[in-house]
Amino acid sequence: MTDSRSAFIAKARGAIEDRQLQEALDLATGRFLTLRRNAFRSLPDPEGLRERARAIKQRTIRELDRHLERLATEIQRAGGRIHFAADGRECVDIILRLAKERGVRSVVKSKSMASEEIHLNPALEGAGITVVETDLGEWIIQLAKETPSHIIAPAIHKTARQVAELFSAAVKQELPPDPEALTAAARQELRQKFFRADMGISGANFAVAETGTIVIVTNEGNGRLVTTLPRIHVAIMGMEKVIPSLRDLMVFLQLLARSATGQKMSVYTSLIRGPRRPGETDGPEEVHLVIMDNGRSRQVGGPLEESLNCLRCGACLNVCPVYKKVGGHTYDSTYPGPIGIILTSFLGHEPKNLSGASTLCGACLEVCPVNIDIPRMLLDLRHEAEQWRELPRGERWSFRAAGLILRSPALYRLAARLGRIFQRPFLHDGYLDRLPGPGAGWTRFRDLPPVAARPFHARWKELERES
Amino acid sequence: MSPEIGTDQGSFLSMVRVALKRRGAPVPRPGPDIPGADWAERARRIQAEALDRWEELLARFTAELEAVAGVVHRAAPAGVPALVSRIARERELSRVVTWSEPALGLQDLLACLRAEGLEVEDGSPHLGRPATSEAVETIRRRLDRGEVGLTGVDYAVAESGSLVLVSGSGKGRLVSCLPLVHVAILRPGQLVAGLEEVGVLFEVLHRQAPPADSPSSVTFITGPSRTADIELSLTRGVHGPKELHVIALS
Repeated sequence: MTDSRSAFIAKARGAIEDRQLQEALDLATGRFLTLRRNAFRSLPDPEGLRERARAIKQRTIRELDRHLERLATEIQRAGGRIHFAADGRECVDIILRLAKERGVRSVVKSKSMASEEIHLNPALEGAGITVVETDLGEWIIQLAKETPSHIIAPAIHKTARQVAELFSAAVKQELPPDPEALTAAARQELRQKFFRADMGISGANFAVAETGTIVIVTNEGNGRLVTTLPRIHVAIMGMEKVIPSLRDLMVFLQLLARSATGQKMSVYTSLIRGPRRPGETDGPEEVHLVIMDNGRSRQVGGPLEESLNCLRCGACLNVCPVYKKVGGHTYDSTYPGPIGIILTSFLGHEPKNLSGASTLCGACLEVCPVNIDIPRMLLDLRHEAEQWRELPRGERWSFRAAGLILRSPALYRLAARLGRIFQRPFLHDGYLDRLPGPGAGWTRFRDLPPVAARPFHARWKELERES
Repeated sequence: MSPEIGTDQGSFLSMVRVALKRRGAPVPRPGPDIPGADWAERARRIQAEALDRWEELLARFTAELEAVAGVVHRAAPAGVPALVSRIARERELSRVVTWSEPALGLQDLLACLRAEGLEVEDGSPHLGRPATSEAVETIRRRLDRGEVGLTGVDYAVAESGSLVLVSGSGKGRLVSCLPLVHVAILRPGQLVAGLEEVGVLFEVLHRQAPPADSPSSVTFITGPSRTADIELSLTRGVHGPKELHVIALS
């Protein structure tokens, strides 16, 4: 745990000194937030809708077994196949096995957080299968051999010049650093790969139990091609993505794009129900859905359960004062940002606790489309991290003293008076920026406001006298 | 697939049940489901309203679609070939691929488009059941060469400016996906107010057909394909069409 913490701090330092990254982060997070605000304004009752969405998710989790069973039955009735994976390893094995049995040599993928969570690409490549990410941002990241830095905009840390270098090498032709030209080149190059691929792998934004429908949302249209052109389509989803009905889906569709990119709807929302029907001219011959646990069921009934409501919209990243400064790579996890800290604490085989990387300001809760109480869970994680720590004697005594002072109004007033006197040498520009001795840790990364010249209770008394 | 890969459904679900039991909270009883007949009644009301409020809904739809760079045209059925031809010519395009004629619902449309001098091919012809892989591959290549994709729509959503296309015989998915320009024909009565209304129509659609006969795909399309993945600069036509035109029939 300490290791991941010091790694975070080291990476954060690098990120803060990276001026290009800072500019990109400011621009991206700022723009997403403005667009999001405007998009929510067009809803007649945004708060009501968020509450409905949250209620649907919570009701579904309470009967998760029933909904998963129904989903499996309906997928099979529509001619699809269903697989269950207890962990990431099993999920990878299932897909490798499918690919091997069907002679798959090349795979195209649309963006899938679940596949990143289980590190699917290296496993496929290890088995001699070519894998191409087809979301433009993800392709950039794949060519650069890096990892995404934002859930929604994976390559925000790359400049057009860097992208031009990567694409030029990929298509073996000199390309200008112009987004329009680069996009056109990518369209042409990736179109060929779509046509050649034997298998398309996607995630699932939702899966509808009553109808056995897999729902995939993209802006570029790569989700449609991945699920239509190759002869086999495999979708991977965390088991919490199931929702009961198509009416429920309509509630989430009104929220997802608004929260993620500030659009009313993403450009393409694909509802997929089994393979190509006898009368149809396109669509895959086989559709598979892999439902994955990978640490999720352990959270049911626990303090982190509501993190299973997450839609992966990325809104909490854009408002987080920590994410906005340190960027996605600092978290060194598939899931960055506030909700990422929670998910990283229990998904997969190497969970880690980064709950310290938060100011607990609550902005994430305010923007969450399903009202997930992220700050509360971050506190729970902190509690868990500290629970077993042996406190040094000094710290133990200070907290004991603080406890006494906070419980007695007379002691509290005395302490405040003393504080006002003793803080004077440490005040700079109206802030305590460097405390001595055991207080140094408190001011190493931030400035503290001083003890107020006139305490609140004095001002309150005055107000009472006046009224 | 051999059983040793993955977890079987029974064990997986009992793992989930153990977790739910630990949770301890009472399992809520599902609320009374609205009976099928009522769904049909609600769907009928929505469809009647769609016809009554066509002009008003179309105004909203147009504003929303234009906000995401789509274009809305109005035309009488007889004016469709000339309009499609103009859209193609202005962009120096000539190869048009279409849904099959019955699915488009306009008689002799393909012949009329050809008379306009366009190179027109059916992008989802009847292939026999089931279609052979070779036949499917031929259609794919044909669609990939197509520059303008001409489709109908099944529903449209005024509040978000979305088209809803349901796959089926003669209604190939790729016609609206592979070409550079997508032109869709919208009829009075297909346009509903919001997503919640679409949800009700879907209920009916799914209750009617057994899964094996129901469409394999339903796609919501809201504007042309777009990305902002390079320096957040908005670029259109990355995988799907660069332009989306809707012809609202009067």
